[in-house]
Amino acid sequence: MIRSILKCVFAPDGAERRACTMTDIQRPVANPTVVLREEFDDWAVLFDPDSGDAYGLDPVSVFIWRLFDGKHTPSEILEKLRDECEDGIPDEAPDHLGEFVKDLTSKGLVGYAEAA
Amino acid sequence: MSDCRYCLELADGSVWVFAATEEASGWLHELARIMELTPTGKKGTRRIYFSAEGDLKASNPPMTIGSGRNGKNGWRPYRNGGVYRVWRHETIPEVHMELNEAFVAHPEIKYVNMWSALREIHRHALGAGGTPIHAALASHHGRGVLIAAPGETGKSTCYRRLPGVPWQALCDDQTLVLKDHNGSFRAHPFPTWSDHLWRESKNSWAVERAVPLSAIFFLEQASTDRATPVNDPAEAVLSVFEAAKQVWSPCWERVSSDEKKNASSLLFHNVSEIAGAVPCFRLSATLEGEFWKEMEEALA
Repeated sequence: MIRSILKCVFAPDGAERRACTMTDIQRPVANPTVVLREEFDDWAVLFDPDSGDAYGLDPVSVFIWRLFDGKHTPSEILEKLRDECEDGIPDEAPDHLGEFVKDLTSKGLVGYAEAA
Repeated sequence: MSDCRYCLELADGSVWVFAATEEASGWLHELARIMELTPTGKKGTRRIYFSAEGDLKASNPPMTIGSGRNGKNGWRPYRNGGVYRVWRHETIPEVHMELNEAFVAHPEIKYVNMWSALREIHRHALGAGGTPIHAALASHHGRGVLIAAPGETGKSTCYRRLPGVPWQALCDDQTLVLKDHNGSFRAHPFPTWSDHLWRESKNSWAVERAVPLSAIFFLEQASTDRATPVNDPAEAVLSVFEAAKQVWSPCWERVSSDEKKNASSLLFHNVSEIAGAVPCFRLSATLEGEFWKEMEEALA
């Protein structure tokens, strides 16, 4: 069980974090060419074959990444995360999620599918 | 082709034979000296032929390739610059490298060409589950340890400061990691080409001598000597990946995006395997302390 929302994705060169707001029209979708390798004790590594770059994901980020299927809004993702976390999620979780998605989007790892 | 042939046997069982024409034989003798290769009569499982040509851009394919009705019989020039040209074939395990004869004896360019020639071994390693990596290699009681770090961090300093037996410093810049027939990883020391390029060194490296890879230490300068395990396996993968990319990135600038994508995907897979099989540590080292004792404790 995931206990709390942890620090989001890190990049080897230390990506700059930017404040971001997301709307529920935007449904994040993972870049299908990106590889998620998960053999590392709940942690994982994202590999982008186009850039040759790789990034580490903590267990919470892995959980969220799996919901980037173009079908879940940010609110729905947070709801699922809340259901998973024994101790609940902090008030700033929506901002963290927004930063996470913005970070991945800036690297080309995530895009958006608009609601029908 | 002259009688100038040298052999390099690697830990994965591949046997490389280097041969040269008379005009390129002096160049090959020097490469063999640097890599401590032995003369051979073997045919080998992989072969690299060196020749010297006057004008690479205008010259025909090497005589050993032949022309044939279809032009080059399946041989393709991989690189066709003014300094050297490389021919590869999809199915024949040979590479033909033509050196511009004007630079065969050039005091710097000949070493650049030697460096480039070994990329054929790097490519082979990638396809066989291994990779070159930007790291010093040492052995402790016969067990290989890598000390990885970006340039100017202190790999060479650590290499020079290692005490003697049971330690042996094997190389300070680049190591080739390969899988042996048991699926275990072994490490070959590779030359530090900058020693020859900029320091006119006469150093040589026993490239054929592979040691079992027992640990990887990621080096950082610090005020205290310490070795701590990298407990996060994802972090270990990223660190090994970065150290390997430092070798590959210059090559990838010159290839197609598809080739880069395929190679980097393969590299990512291989380093994930390496980081999963070989214990990794962070090594904080000072200039005066006995950092190797921290490594010994980690290896125990």
